[in-house]
Amino acid sequence: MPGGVAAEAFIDERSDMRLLFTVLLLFLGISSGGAVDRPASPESRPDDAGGRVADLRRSLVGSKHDFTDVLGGAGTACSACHVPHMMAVRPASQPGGGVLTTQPATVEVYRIAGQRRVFAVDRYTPGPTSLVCLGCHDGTVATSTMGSGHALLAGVREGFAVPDEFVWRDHPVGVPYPSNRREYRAESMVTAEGKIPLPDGRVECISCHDPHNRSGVDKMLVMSNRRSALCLSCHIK
Amino acid sequence: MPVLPHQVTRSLPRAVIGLAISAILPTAGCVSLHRADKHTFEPLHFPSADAWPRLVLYGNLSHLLPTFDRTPPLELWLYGPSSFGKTAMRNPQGMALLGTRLLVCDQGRSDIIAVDLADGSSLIWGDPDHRPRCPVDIAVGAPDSVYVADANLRSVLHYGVDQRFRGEIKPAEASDERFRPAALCVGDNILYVGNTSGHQIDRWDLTTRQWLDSLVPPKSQPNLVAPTGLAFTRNGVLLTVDAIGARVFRYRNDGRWLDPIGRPGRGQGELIRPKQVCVTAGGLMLVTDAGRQSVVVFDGDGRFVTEIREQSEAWRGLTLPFGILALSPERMPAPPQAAVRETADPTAYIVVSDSLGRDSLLLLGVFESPVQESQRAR
Repeated sequence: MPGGVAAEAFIDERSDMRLLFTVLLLFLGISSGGAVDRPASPESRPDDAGGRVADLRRSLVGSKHDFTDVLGGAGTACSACHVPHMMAVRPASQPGGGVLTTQPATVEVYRIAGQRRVFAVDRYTPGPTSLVCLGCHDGTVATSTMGSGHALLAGVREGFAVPDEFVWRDHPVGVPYPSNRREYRAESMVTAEGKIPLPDGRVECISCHDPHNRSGVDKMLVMSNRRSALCLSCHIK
Repeated sequence: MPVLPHQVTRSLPRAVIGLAISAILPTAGCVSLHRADKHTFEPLHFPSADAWPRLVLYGNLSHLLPTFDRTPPLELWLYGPSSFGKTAMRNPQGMALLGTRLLVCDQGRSDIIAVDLADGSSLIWGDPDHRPRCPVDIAVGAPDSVYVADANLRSVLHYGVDQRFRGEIKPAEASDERFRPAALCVGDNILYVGNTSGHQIDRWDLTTRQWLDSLVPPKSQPNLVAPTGLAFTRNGVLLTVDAIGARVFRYRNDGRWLDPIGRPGRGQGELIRPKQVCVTAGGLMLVTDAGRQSVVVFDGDGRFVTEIREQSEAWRGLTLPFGILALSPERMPAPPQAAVRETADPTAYIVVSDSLGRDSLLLLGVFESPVQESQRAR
């Protein structure tokens, strides 16, 4: 089953673009899976991949992430965040000769804009998925999450000690989920329903907010917070 | 208005709270002497050491300037030095130069930080009674004005160079939903404002104090969605970075729109989440890209030149780069030693603000012509 963060695959550039959508969807946690070794043939892709994309697009329409009108109409619903372009990042070379081949090169497949493969695992540092959000939610394109009172240690630079202004703020982006503390539910319980993703075991933007607005609730939350339901998914009170 | 150092802005209650927190947070409160972390950084050349034009990354300003940001003793005692030995910017974004002072919008502090390029000392700049709430960009206008784009207040804050607050600039008839200033630039006594809510460039005549017609690209060009960066070229072309459309629009002062530079994508010369742009005296255009985590460099005709990005072990790169500013060499009062060691003088220095990365403010040198080699020889 294909999937995984920063999926890299040896694929032919002529591969079916729908496969790329599938990889994207898997990355977003819509489906689970392991690492990609080789591309699946078009026949082996999940039959409902196109339907899932359509569902995502439908949920996006009318939300604050719907840039269709300002970008210029139909076909642009995804392109504000997803850059549909493949780039050969490490051309294969002939053994000994260093000559470029025409055969499969290593390509990056539909990585989300801003996604990085490396980040400091031991720090309160936003992970790759959150960097996508922060690329706009820095006060310029959208509400800032850096200097606002809403959240976050995302406002703290890499390697920076916790500053006084931020210590009362909660839900630091990029913090490892404290699964081993008794006031929190086990990570497996939190993620069991598939609504609350914890990428690499960390609390990221998408742990609480769904950029595709599938639940349709206020603040683009991953689920309704009626009677603190979302809060209590993690916190034991 | 007197200059306020960090110490003065720290209130006692906050300090007491900080002291309590320092006792329970493992990352804070370590009592340690401030150590000037002058670690060596081997300059990196982009695209290569013998290419023209090329850019040289010298490192970050905290290492290059003599006494960058002397951490106030109280803050040092309460919170300790940052892990790399400095109290640096928290979320630096837009920048401008005022005399020898580099003014930086630091959204994490919600303040303007002024770094003196002569001695590296820093201070909080502005009127303490009218602090910005979400400063994202800043511009200096003649003769004695500083403008700050505040995304939370949804207005442009006007200060004198004496730091006194003079007023807010925002369209009277525009609702908050229609005006989010994200980029500023001054040219021909007009303040250009990148309005990401209105998807246009608003213009404020600094002489008549009236709004002029907004600028919007013609229908023959892609839509302008989120203008987050503005800069003028030497021949008066207004460059506008579109963070969502992933292009740099070009508007000539005769009213004609030239073809945009770049396009969305991950290939060479393509953009993902471009933020700001600056132009060197030789015509190079440098664009920060918070999606590629890099600075993409184009020549004056919009052709891709190189990309400044992470270099495996040598440099771990940028994390949400935002602001970018070109300085002529004479505006850099204390050239860093790393630059002096070069065989030629840079035609420009470039400062890049890295809003979430470790390096905070990076310094680059630009070498645009082989003629420079002979200049140094003479």
